[in-house]
Amino acid sequence: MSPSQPSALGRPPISGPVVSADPSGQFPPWEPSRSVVSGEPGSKEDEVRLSLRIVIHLDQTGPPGDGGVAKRESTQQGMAQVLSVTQGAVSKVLSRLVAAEVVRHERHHVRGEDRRVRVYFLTARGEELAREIQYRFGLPSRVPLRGQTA
Amino acid sequence: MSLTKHHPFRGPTYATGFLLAMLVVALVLAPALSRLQSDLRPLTSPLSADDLSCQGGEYQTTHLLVLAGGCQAVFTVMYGQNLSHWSATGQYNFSFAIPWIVEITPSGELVRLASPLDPYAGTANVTVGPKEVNLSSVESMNVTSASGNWTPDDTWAGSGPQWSISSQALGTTTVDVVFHLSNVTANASANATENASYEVKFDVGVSGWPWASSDDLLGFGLESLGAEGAHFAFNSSSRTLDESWNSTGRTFASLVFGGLANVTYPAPPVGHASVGEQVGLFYAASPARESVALVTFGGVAGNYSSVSYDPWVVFSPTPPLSPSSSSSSGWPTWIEISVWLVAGVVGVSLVVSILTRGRRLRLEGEKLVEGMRRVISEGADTPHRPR
Repeated sequence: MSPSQPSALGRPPISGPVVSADPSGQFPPWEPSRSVVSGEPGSKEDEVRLSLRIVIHLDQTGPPGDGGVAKRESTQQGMAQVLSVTQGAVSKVLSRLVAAEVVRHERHHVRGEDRRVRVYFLTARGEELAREIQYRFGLPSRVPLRGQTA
Repeated sequence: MSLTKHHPFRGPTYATGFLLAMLVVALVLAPALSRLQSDLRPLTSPLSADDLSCQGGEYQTTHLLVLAGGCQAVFTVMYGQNLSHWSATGQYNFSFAIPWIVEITPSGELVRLASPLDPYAGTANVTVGPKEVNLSSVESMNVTSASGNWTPDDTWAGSGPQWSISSQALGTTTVDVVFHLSNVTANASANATENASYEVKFDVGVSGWPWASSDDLLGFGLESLGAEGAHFAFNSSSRTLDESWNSTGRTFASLVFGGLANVTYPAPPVGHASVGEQVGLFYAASPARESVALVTFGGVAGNYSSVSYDPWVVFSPTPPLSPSSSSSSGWPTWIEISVWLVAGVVGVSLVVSILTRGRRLRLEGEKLVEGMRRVISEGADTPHRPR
């Protein structure tokens, strides 16, 4: 998907500097430190990095589609799997982002689950943050994240 | 990338609230547990270990247990909901003993006294009839000369009344005490049930008394040992010796003194002696858990060959489980207050924890947003960011 194409959310692409997906091999600033990846107690910087990744990730996944069926990647477990971090680390950061009204959660059906589960979406404030990230770092609206294939 | 160190608000959390609540529980319940342990401490059994070879008797119904000590003229009435364990019911006991039989002059001077022999010389047994159960003790006592004054409402501090008693026996008298559980549906089993009167009547008989003068009066001491944590007080209007809890003041048992006694002369007719105003009390201490009532029989000529008197004991209609539970209709007890206090502290701690957790999460969330914005602004100028 090129940056000029509309995103899956139907939004027009955000204009700005466009960067490749880390051609230098250097991690962008939102990449996790090892402590978060391993599940050990991370620093505040680790939590900020994970917050950035969660915001970007939720911007990519978007809200549930028609029929109210959400993606597994919008659940805590799915996020932990996609972002390669522990579910505890995701839960901790999500609770703070929810309290800061960056993220909201609802119960929706997810494919493969019998019961409705809690899924997370960006609020208006979260979407604003996501747009700032995309603008500053020239990210397209759907960027392959770690654990995802483009 | 540098992040400013921040110190988010740290209010009481669930853990601190829980610890605070547990501390309060420990502080509040420590005296309660101590008190409970004290309440459950068994009282002195009417049968000591050395006396177990003596012939005694007992009878038990749903809520009453009456013990007749074979080696001592002591009757113990226990009352409660769980009579299977002595320590659980000992606190409700009401023990009676006849420590002396006395002859006093009309002016109140002591002239003769009989006290239980040592070793005890008597028998105790239980007889079960179709409508009642009787527990009886028949005991012989030596009668000696004595001097001293009977002064009611005295307090003796363990030494007993200050009487001078001769060691030379002037004769013997026979004292029989019979407990009647007349409301029992007696079937000679431990599962018998009694009706709701909760009364235990008992007769005290004295016969064969060697009188010093036909003008004198006869009387006997009725020693009562109450429950631990309770005290006795004589109620002159109701003519009862009331046993009440020290903590609540609630009366749970009353010894009712009958107003009349039957006396028998060597030749008919049977006379009736009045005992009205002659009931007096010695108290072991104040408040008295132990007391001795001296019941004298007057209004008739002396020289009677026997006297029969039947006071009775009335227990509160509802068998109490504990002194605290007996006061549920009155002021809340300190245990109830403690429970409410602990519940209140726990509740407040939970509410405070929930409120402060939300505020703490919001503050930490704002810090995360602030950190993200900082990374975004710094990241745009970071040299390693490929352009």
